[in-house]
Amino acid sequence: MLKRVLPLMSLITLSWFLIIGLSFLFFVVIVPAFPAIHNSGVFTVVAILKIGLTFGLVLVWVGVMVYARRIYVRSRRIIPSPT
Amino acid sequence: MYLLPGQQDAFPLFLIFLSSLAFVFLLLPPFMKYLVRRNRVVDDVHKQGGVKVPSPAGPLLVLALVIGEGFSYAFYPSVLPLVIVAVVLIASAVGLADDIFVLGGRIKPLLLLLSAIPLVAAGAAIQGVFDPRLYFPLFTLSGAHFTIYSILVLAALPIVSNAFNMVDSFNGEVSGFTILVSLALILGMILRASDQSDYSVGRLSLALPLAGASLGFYFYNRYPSRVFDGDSGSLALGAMYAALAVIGGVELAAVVAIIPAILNSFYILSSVRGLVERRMMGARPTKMGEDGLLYARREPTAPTTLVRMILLDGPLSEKGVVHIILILTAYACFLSAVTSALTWLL
Repeated sequence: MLKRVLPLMSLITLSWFLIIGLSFLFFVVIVPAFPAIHNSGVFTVVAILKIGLTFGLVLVWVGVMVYARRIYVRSRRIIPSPT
Repeated sequence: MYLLPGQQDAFPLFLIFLSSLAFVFLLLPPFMKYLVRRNRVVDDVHKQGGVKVPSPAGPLLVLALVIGEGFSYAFYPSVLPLVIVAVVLIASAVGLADDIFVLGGRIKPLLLLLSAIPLVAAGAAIQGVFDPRLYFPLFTLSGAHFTIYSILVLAALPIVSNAFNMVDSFNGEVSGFTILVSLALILGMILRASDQSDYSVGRLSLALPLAGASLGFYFYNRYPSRVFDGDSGSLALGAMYAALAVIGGVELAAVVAIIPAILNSFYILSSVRGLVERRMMGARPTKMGEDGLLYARREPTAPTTLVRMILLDGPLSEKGVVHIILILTAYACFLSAVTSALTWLL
């Protein structure tokens, strides 16, 4: 039971850390570092940079979770059914 | 307005919880007979011998949620129970259409956007329906941006509804999952109420019908299932959960509690590369052996679901699979509780 559950719990914990950590980066680093978009305008360099960095954080979560799944799947051989 | 539920709230809150629980528990057996008489039965694909199960029980579940919200309105009058009812009815109507006609993988999320409209509209028209800020543990809260927050709400309802829909594959999976995550949601609301003086106990009462109805449903939906909820049930449960997270102001804790469902949906979408209705997928993620156990499919085209990942370690019974999923959900709920505690107690 633990052999099955612990690795998946690790995936959930990793996802949780990333959600908290990336939110921290967004609200504590990115948001204060740039002027508000409704003040600077949407099509300015700072606005595009801010939006780009935000999408970058989302891509970090996606990339890490995909990589984690790959490691999980590769570390296991699929047990064929007897049929 | 007052803080944590006091003695005077014990009876109303218990009655709100009990109304949904008792409604489902007492009326589901005759409703199951009605479904069988109308030939509304589906195959339980994870059983040997062509077992048929009545479905969908979603309309009865939705009625139980509406009755629970009705009690909430009676004891704590506000527009909030009406907003929740509107969200649930729209999501359930989309699910019912999917139960009957099988909507496409792209149409369903688009239609589910409609379920977010009552919530956003109420938030725009009435002050205090939701707080357009996100609270985070340890560091800060975001600024108040109604437009950005509303866009997030519009996106969240279809995503969460579909995530609930995708964990509705095995006996007792979605009902057990909903019981656990609704308890995490309620805990988050209690901790928030302990921190903020303007947080009404009426908001907490909104979440009790979700826990009550899913507990009542679990008695009949657990292994071996005597009834399935159908998409009309799972989408309504998901939409209500998302709406409660927004109205309750416990969005982050709510997201953390459903991480297993989010990972399940994310891995399915990334492996099939797009929005595909689960009944229209080319290959199924699992198959049943002659020994009655579930096996992970070997085909590379099979979608990577959470269950397939669990079965990579070897075959399991359906009951065993659901047991592990509920353990993982309980763990995510524990992390949700930690998140709530870090947000509201520190």
